[in-house]
Amino acid sequence: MLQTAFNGLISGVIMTLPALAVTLLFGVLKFPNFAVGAMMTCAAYLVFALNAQLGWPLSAATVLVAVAFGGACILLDQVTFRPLRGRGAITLMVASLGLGFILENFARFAYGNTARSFAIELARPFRFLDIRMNREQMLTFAVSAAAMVAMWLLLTRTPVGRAMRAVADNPQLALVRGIESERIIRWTWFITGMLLAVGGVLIGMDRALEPPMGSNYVVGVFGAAILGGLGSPFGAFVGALLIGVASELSTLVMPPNYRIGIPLAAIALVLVFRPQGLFGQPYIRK
Amino acid sequence: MISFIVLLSIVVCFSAILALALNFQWGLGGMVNFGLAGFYTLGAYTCALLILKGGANTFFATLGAMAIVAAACALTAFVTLRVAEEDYFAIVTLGVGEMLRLVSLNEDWLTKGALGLSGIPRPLDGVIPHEIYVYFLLGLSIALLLGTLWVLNVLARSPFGRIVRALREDDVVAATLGKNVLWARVRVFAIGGAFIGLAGSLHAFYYQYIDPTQFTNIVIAYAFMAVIAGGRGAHAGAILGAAVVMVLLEGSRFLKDVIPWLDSDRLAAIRIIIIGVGLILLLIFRPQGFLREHRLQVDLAAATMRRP
Amino acid sequence: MSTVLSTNGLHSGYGAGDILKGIDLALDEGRILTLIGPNGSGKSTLVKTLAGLLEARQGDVLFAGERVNGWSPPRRVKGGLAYVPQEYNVFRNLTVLENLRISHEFMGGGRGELLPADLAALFPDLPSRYATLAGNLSGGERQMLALACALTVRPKVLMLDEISAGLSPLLGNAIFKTVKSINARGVTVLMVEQNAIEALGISDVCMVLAGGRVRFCAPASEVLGRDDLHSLYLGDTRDTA
Repeated sequence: MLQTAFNGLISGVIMTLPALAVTLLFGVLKFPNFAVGAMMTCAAYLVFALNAQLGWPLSAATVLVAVAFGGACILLDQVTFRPLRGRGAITLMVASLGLGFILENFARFAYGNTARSFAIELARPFRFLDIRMNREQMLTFAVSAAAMVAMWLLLTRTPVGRAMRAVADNPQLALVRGIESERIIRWTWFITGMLLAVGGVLIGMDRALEPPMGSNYVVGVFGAAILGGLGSPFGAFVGALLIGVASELSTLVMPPNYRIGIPLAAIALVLVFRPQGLFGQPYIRK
Repeated sequence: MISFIVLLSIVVCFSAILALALNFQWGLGGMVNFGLAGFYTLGAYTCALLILKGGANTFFATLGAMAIVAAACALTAFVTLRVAEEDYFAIVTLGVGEMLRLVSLNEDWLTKGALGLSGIPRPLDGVIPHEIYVYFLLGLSIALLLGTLWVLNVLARSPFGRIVRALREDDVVAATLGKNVLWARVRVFAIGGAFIGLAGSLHAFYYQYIDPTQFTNIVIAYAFMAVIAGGRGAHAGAILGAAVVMVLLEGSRFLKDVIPWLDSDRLAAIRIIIIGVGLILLLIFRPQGFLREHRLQVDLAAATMRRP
Repeated sequence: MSTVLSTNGLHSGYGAGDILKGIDLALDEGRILTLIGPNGSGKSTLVKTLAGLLEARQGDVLFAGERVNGWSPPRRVKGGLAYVPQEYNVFRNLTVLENLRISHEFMGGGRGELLPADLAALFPDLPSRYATLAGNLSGGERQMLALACALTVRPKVLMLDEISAGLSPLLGNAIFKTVKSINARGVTVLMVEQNAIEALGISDVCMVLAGGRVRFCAPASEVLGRDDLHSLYLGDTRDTA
């Protein structure tokens, strides 16, 4: 059972980055963005191209793709969501669904449906306190922790980060305090693009690379973000860990293929009993 | 060629029923069903299983499917009764749809998983002569489509419809009018669900073989495109939209003949990319669609509770 | 004495129909102008339009000699036109310090003190609350914070939408005193107010709005003296003092 809990912890840690991306995007753009799964997939395949096909080391490939993907997300936003700014949440959600289809199938078109893996040295798993672990998982911990720290610093110590929180808190007030919303939106996309790219690589390391790899995580990641409170970065972090561990532990009593029931139940419970999640603020619409 | 048009028309018919159901739930009820694919799957499999394992005939199997999907939708709506925000509701339905899809894939003992169910008979198969059967099926599909249109229209114009529309327009109204009026939302979603079940049954009859891959989320893209192209809330528009979308998409299957160097996986990927692009373009350039919603002269609560 | 903020023939609104039906306004530098009028008269709409949150459908908005109709709200505030909304006027999930800092950074403050020294003196209680989340402040503290945020970069014009709303008479008076002191330090003020009598007590000019039009515009002292306006537009719940 300890092993299961540990696996859940890893799963949760992998979800922290995309959950944070979801919560930041929701805070600034005011709608749930379903394209995040496919974005992770695309970024992972880009890293695959550099790593497995061109021979780059995984770390270098990830860094380059993260920055490039951040820029790519800005472009995607300009083309897809900017023309729809100010339209209702549903319109934007449907658009994000469409974008997700496009991105996932670009990956499918380029690489087909067979599963791929990154080119990394195979290291033997080791045991610690009776739990089986491997090097990739340690790396996942380290990378996620570093990303979380970086994000925390960004959001609390930099003007851009503060502006993102301000826009998430009160977009109209942000305007009259001199914050240009489009500029902050671009920054938000750049940062979440990087988070999603790294998240995609972590998924690719944990499982295989295949077209639905990112989309499989969408419900879980949204569950994490909603449980933690949409708009609360700390909440996304905690929510991801909780959902990850709970989902894995559920496999002890439920068929593993229905893991998705856990985030789903979490979403339903949260929305009915405490819509602002664990750490969110009740957001007044309109 | 004729038979191709007939077959395509049948597909358009049940796709249109699906679009009408989505339109009813979303356009009228303000409840967007991102789990459409899952409920559609539920309808098709329920119908097929009632026939193949339950020994029912096609008529009762269809009714059964409609009832089951209606119940599933009612349950979903009931659990989220207090969730007034459109987008949160959409997330829940997305999750429910995913669950249903997983059940169809994983519960081999029931659904044969990825292998799918084959040998689904068609309505009155043995009775109608083979040569004219497709025309019968077309006629049946059209009749069911018109029936769906009529029922949903009647409901939309009824007092029930007015209440639902008022609820959709103004959450404050919803809060003040109390619980038993909120039940209207459950009923809307359930009624839409019944017609999703009908569409699923027709799907099963048409293809005579169903497996989980037929019910991916692309289904919802088709339905949304149909609804958006037709103008959200305008029933006749949803049908026109479904026709346009289906013709374009089924027609694009011919791409394979034109571009032979693409294998079927790649082709499927391209088609989905085209759908995604089409969906986004529709949202950007055609938000109202081609027809507009028929507004009743008097929308009770919405009219009286507006300006202070 | 120059006119720092003015409009001519201003029309604006939400949805169908205009709420403002041709407003001519002129605010002279260094003055305090108070806008009063019944509910729905368009007072808030006017200020929102001046701030750039609503588009002017007809007419011009002139600020510091320039026509600013096309200017976005951030551009206007960076140009010196500050605005304190009626509700939700602080970032509730940010601390007091962060609220001030963000206003300072984005309104063009650069390095240097959060508030100009002479204005900082008017908010002696703020520093002790720096670490508190703005959403946890009391009503009076929140209004003071909202006011301070608008002043982090000394504006030319400060627009206040019912700054005393929801405050006890004591706190309301304190806020008006602060506004008067701000004005004394060179900031032109435009106020929308329901607490008309107190507000007019510190104002130079009074403008009465009703049904989206200007009904009356005169020196504040003159308005305070008139009996008919008293009953129509001022303190419905007030006894004649």
